[in-house]
Amino acid sequence: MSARVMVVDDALFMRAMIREALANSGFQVVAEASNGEEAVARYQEVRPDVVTMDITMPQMDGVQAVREILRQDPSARIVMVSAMGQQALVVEAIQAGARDFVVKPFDQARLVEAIRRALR
Amino acid sequence: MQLERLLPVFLSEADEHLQQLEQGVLTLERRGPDPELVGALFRSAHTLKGSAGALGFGRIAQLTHAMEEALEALRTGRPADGLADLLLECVDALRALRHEVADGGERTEVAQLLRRLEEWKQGRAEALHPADVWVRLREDCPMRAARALALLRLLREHARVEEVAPPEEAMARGNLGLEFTARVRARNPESLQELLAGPDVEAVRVMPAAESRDERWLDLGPQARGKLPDDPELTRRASLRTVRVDVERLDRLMNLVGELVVDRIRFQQIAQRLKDARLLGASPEKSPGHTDRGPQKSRSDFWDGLDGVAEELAEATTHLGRVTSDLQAEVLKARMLPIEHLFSRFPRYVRDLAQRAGKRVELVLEGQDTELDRSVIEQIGGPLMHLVRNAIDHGIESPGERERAGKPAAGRLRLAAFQEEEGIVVVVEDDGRGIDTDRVRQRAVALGILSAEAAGRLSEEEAVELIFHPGLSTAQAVTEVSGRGVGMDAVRAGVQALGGSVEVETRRGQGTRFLLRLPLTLAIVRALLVSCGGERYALPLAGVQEIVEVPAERVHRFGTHRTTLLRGGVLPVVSVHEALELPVPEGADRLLCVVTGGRRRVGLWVDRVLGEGEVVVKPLGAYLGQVPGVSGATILGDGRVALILEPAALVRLAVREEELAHVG
Repeated sequence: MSARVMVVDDALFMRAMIREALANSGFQVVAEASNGEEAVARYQEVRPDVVTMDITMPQMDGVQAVREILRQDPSARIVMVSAMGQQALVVEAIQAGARDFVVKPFDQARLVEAIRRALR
Repeated sequence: MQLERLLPVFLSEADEHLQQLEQGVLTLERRGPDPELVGALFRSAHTLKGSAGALGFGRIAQLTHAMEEALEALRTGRPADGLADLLLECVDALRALRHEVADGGERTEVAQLLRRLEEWKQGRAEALHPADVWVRLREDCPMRAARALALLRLLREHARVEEVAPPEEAMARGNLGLEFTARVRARNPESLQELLAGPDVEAVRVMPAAESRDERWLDLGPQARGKLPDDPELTRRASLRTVRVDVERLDRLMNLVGELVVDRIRFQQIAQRLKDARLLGASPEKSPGHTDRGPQKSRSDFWDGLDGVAEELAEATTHLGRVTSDLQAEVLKARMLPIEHLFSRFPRYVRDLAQRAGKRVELVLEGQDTELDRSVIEQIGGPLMHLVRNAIDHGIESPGERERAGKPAAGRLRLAAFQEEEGIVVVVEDDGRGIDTDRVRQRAVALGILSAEAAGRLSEEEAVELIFHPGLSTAQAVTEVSGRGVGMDAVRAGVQALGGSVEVETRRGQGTRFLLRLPLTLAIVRALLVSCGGERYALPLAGVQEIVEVPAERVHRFGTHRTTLLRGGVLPVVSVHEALELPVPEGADRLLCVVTGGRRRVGLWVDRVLGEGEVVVKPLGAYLGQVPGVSGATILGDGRVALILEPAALVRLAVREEELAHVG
């Protein structure tokens, strides 16, 4: 059974790109969210196997969303998708419990690899 | 909302249960699983699980549930082998989680522990093998710190990570080159190689590690060398900002506050009567007709009234004085905590250290109910840990060596506290190999601290004192050989910062005893006010034995130092003027305050003694920094500032000069 993924990013373009990359590698994108608050709510509904999480987003940022999701489900698996120069935020996210990260711009293989590691 | 209200209750309850669990597991390890003990452990885990579940702390609930199941298996006949270690790890994780939920959310991983508890339950518990994992990132790896932390997180899910270099906090701050090292225990260390390999990783090497500590430090690289991590829980617990106060003590405080309220009412009444009396005193002249009585009568009433008011004021003031001093005493007592607060962490700390060092150590705790000022307890933890660590690492011998020397295989480590006169004494004593003073001497000479000749002249006691010399005590490889570890100067500095002193007694082959003399309270000390070179100084009374006047001609001068005879014995004389670089008056008689510092007794030469009283100690602060011989400052009744002298440090200043004189 293919793993169920939720994609969180405020840019429609990024969501589309990630979705395509995942579909090509046999993952199933079961939900999308465009900000942290939405991500937390959607996570509860669909309980995906893994989440890709953008960092800079309106309403609630990605780091905060990681905290919220992990508070409700300590076993949640989250991969951060970060722009360059956001290392401090990525470190924060990992300390909060995110499993892995990729840095934009990334190639598809990198993202898929990170998600596979997170699922391990 | 509900969480906010319930969280503090949960936290304090969790602290109690964690403490009980830890003590219980240590007992379990020593005595084996008697049903009552297992039952008590089970109940603690169960209670924690219930409250954690209700508050939605999933990991705490999961972990305590798994602990329950393991204990249940124990109750139904599963042998206890290996469970104590595992449960102690669980307690550590629960403690970390307890602190995490207090500030946000659960972060510590429990998956690995859950898996191991499950395996233990099924009797498949396998030994964990120690290994050093070395990881090198690729040059082009973006966000190295984040990558390293993510790898570490992954590692934690598959192995027990004991130490990391550089430390994790440093990495989080970005202090990281391309490499890091971790000491881990894993069932199958080789598997970690593949686990950690990835696109940002240049190389991973997993090396089976020797159990011995010395080798391990070599493996861990320069960052880790010489640094044994302090027990974070110990430090954390000691710096709790809240104190439990006995209800009776609170009641007494409340009563005293009640008395203060009564005083306030009395003062209000007195003020009112003064106002009335003034009206009375003013009215007869201006409008005698306003009163039924004659002006003469009013006038005498006025004076009588004033006398009465004065008397009442004096009485109320006396009462106020008594209440405030009682209040002061009670508040000081409320700041006191039993040293048990600190000692209670040591059974576990000692067990872990001994296990790692391959020693057998029996810990004896005495005087746990001895009370110390909270701030002293907070600050004494570090030095105490250091001494305990040294005793286990370097003092107590390996079981084999002990048996060859005709000693019991298990070393004895005694931590004791008791009150003595104006202060508290804390003892750290081991029955290990003692300090090899010959080695200490040799090394001090080799390091150029003093000449071979001067070293030869040192008495045994003086040679032992060398371990506190900063130059010697930082040279780790050196002092390890001589049976003492690093940082003794830091220990002494820490204790002295509290106004205390450290003494050491050692016998080769028989053991070493450290005595930490600490003030009862930091905030207020009884002190002698003295003047020197026109300035006023406070000299803590605890160290002053007597004050004697000596004619100038009876003080003899040899080179840079002076002595006099006191009741037939030689008393070194230290001039406060010289120690503080003030001009030295000539000719006048010498007023000497005889003080003790360590085992030495010296006469501190001052100009005048002005009196004695209680002074409130204020730290000097960063502005003045460390002034040798001065421990703080206080504000006198007239608003002037007086520096507080530190007798022990003044004695040392004098002794150092003496040593220099020897070397020269």
